[in-house]
Amino acid sequence: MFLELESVGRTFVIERRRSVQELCVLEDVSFGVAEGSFVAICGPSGCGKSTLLRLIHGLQKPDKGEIRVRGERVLAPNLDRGMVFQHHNLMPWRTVVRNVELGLEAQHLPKDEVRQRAKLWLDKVGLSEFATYYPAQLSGGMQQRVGLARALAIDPQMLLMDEPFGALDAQTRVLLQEELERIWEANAKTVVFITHDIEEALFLADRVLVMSARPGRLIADIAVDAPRPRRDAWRTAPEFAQLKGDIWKLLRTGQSEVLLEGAGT
Amino acid sequence: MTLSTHNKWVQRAIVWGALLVIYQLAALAAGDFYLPTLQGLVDGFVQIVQDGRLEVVAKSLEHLLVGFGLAVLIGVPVGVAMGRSFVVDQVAGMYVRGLFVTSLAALLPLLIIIFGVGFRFQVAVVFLFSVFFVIVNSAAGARDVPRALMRTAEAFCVPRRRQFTGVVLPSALPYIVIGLRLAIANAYTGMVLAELWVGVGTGGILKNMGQNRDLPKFYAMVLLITLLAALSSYAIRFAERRLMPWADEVRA
Repeated sequence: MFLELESVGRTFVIERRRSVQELCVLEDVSFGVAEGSFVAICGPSGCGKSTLLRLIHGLQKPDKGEIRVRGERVLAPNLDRGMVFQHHNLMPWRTVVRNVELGLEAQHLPKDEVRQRAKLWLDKVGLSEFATYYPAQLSGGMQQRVGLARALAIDPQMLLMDEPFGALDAQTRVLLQEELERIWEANAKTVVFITHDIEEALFLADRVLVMSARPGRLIADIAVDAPRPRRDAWRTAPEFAQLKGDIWKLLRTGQSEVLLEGAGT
Repeated sequence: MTLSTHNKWVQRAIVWGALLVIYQLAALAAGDFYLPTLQGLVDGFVQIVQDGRLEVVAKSLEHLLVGFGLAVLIGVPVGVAMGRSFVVDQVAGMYVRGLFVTSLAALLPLLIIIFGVGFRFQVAVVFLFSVFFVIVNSAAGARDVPRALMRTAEAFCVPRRRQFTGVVLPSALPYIVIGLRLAIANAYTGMVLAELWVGVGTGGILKNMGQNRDLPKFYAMVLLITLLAALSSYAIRFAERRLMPWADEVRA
């Protein structure tokens, strides 16, 4: 397995004025991801999916269990894993092309090559005209594409995406999903994609992992075997609607369990 | 470009013209004993120049620049360190916050005891009047660096030293500049106050002119200092736009 999670758990300690509260965000999460596959993790908000992604990236460490990439334990972020954030997180003082160069600068490459690679990826996300713009001058969709180019420019083995299209309008989101599918097909990176949007997960992924509400646990592992490129044909297919209904039921029961537990205490 | 009331220079001309007219009317109503007329102001200014008073002002500005320069050189690093380090904030913060709310004018006698009444005294007063604005604002800027951006830098393996120069400093820069602008205005206050206190330099001249009721020259002098202070503040703003093109182009 390319990426392996073994009974990963994470608890946050929240200190209030008087009391110290423990918040169990992830509980006993285990799964593996094959190299080159596109896995979406779908769950209700607050179920710990973003935390899970940060653990995989190495920005945070799990309290329990272990995460391995190619058999090696993940201890800190490195440039084999590229992260795309929910909010673009571009540096406002850097131009678009300088933002794409962010991760390349730590790789000790010659300056020319850094600029060349950044421009190449800007071109691939269709923004070469905007290289000298500042992020605030771009639309939300364009900012997110810069974020994607920044993650791809370091040529990572794995792309980690944390609800990257969550804050965009519906049309832009669909366009970017298709663009992502195209880029992914051309580069065949392993992708772990976090989303709360069932349709997005089904459209993009080979496999959808469904999580329950807090504490986050895996409640289903669904294979999506539609041929690629998918485009609109897959969105309107009856199997798509069927799977969407199944996942929605899972999410709903997963959540209502928690609501009932909450009511009982 | 046609001249219309939407042109900002036309608008400015109208506003400034109106202010001058109002001033002239007020001066005529109040009489020479309280307010010189525009003509009187101009005459006063010519006299100041002829008396060689501008050289005295230039000397005062020298004190101002040294004091303000020291305030920037010391204030920015101290402020940024306070904003990034809990320990430094605890140690230095107490003194900074304490002196920030103290009436510095009350410390003038003490400063005279320490520094005498010459160059060092003038510089010290300007320094003290400006440094806290620099520190407090730099600290706020360094404290308010968005966590998401720090995390992003970390995620892309930006080394710690570069996280500081590449994320913390540019993010704090707008705050630092605001601190400098507040500081320069206060530096002028400090400069005049210190000179008034010991009766030398620009402040000393003002004191004499006031006591002799030499109002045209007095008002011309006050106006000159006000203009210089405004110009200094504007110069910092201009530098800000050159230093931070991203903020400017966003506004455009």
